[in-house]
Amino acid sequence: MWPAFIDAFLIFWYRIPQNPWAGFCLGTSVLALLCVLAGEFTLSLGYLVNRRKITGDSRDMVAMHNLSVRALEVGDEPGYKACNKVANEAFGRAFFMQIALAAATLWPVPWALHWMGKRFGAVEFPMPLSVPAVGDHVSYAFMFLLFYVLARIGFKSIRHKMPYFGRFHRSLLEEKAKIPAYRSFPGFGRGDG
Amino acid sequence: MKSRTPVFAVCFILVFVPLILFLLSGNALADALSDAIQKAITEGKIDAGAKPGYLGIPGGSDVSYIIGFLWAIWVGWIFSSVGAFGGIMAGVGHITVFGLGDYAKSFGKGDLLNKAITDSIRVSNQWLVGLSAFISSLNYYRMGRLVLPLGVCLAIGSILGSYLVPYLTAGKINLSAYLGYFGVVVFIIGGFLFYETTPRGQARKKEAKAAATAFEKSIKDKGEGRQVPAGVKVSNWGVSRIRFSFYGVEFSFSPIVPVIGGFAIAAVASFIGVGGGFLFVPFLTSIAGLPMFLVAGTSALTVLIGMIVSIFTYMVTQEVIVDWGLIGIELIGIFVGSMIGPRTSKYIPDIWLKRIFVLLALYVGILYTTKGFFGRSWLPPF
Repeated sequence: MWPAFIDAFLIFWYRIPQNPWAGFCLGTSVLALLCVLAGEFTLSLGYLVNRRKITGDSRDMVAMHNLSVRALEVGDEPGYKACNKVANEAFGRAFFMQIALAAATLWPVPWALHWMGKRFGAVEFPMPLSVPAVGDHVSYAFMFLLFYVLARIGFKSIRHKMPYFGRFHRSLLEEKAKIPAYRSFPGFGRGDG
Repeated sequence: MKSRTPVFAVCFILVFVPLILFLLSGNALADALSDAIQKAITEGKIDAGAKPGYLGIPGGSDVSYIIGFLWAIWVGWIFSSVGAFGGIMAGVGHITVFGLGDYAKSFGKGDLLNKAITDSIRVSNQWLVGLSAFISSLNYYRMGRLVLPLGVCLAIGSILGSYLVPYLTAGKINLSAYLGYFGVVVFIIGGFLFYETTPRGQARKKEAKAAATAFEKSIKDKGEGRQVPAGVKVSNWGVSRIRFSFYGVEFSFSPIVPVIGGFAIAAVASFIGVGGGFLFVPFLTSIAGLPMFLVAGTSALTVLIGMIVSIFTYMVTQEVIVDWGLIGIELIGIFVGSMIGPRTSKYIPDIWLKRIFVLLALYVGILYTTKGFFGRSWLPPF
C-alpha cells in the first residue's frame, strides 16, 4: 500500500552506511525527524485556520476558572459552584480542540509504525540483558519511539532558529500572552497561586 | 511544590513503565492472530492463497482508507461541535462503516478470528482516545493540575478495572455481545445529552451562567472582598474520609468513592474501547463535588493510566493487534473534522445540535443493542 517512491525514499537512508546498525540509526532518525516536522507543520496549519477559536476557548476557560478561584478566595461557595460549572463547559470546548491539535501533532507516528512494521516487523533487536517477562530483544516500535522522543527533544531546542517553525513559535508565544495566567491553588500547582 | 515530585514519580511508574514494557515485547503480538488464521484455514473458513486484507488476514475485509478518512472527518466534526459522541462515532466507524463488524460475525459465534477482530476494534478505539489523553496529561502536568490524593484513589480503581477487563474478556467476547454493550453505552451518553436539552438542564445551565455573571459583577463592586486563609489545607487524611479546604471552603470525599468510581468507569471504558472521560468529569464534579481545577487534569491522567494499562494488557498479554495505517488516517481525518467543526457549528444552535445527536444516539443504541442481544437489528441496516 506504500507508494514505491515513498518506500524507496525512506529505505534510502537505511542503506547509506555499510554497517547495518549505523544504517538503522540514520534511517530511523530521518524517519522520526520527518514525523516531528510533519506533525508540527500540521499543528501550525491548525493554528492558522482556527487561531481565534483556539485563543478564545482558552481565554474563556482560564478566565472562568480564575473567577472560580476568586470565589473561593472570598469564601463565596455558591459563586464558586456557578463559576465552576461554566468553567467546565468552557473546558469541554477547549479540551476537544486540544484533542484535534494532538491528532495534528501525532498523525505521522502510526504511519511510521505501519511502514516500519512492513520493513522491520520480523527483526528482533537484541538487548544487552534479559528483562523478566519481556525477554532479551525489543521490537521496531520501541526503537522508533526512542528515536522519536530524541527527535522531539532536538526539535524543541532548535525550532526557534528554524525558518518557518521559528516564526510560528514566536506567533504562538504572542497568542499565549493574550491568555490570562492560570491561577492555581497553592500547594497543588505551579501557577502563581 | 513539594507534592510535585511524588506526583511525577507515581505518574511515571503508572504510565510509562507499562508503555515501555509493551513496546519492548513487540514480536509476540501477532501470535494469537496467526493461530486464529491457521485455525480458520484448517477449518476451510478462509483461503490461504487469497490477498491479505485487514490485519493481514487472507481474503480479509479490505478497509478503504478513503472511507476511513472521510468517516474520521465526521468523527472530528462531532468531537469539536457537540463536545461528545466522538469516541462512539469512531466505534460505529470500525464496526459498521468499515464493515469490520459483519466481517467478524461472518466467522460465526465462538470463532477465534471473530474474537480477534472484535478485540482489534476495541483496541483501535482506545488508541485514538489514548493518544489525546497523553497530550492532555502532559499539558496538565505543565500547568501543575495533577493532584496526588485524588489521582491515587482514582488510579487504583482505574488500573484494576483496566487490567481485569482485558484479562478476563480478551479473546472471549464475540462481536454480538460487544455490539449489545456498546449500544447500552450509547444510550447512557445519549441520556447525558438528552438531559442537557431538557428545560431543567437548560435552566440549570442558565442559572449557573447568571450566578457566575452576578459573582463577577459583585467582585468588581466589592474589590478585594473578604480574605480567608489562602491555599490548600488537608484537615483530615483518613481511610474513611479525606477532608481539605481551598481558601476556607471545605471539601471532602470518601477515598473509596473514587476507587470504586475509577474501577467502574475504567472497566466500562476498557470493555467498550473508549476513554471514559465522559463519565469521569460528571462523576467527579457531580458525585464527588470536586472543583474543575482538580477534575480536568486528574480525569485526563486517570483516562491515560487506564488506557495504557488496558492497551498494554490487550496487546501484550492478550496479543491483540491493530492496523496502524487505519489509525494514522483516522488521526488526520479527526484533525480535519475538528478544524471544520467550529466554523460550521455556529450556524446551528447548540441545543439543536444536541437534539440531533440525541436522536442519533437513540438510533445507534437501538441498532446495536438489538443486533447484539437479539441477533437482528430492529432498524436499518438489518
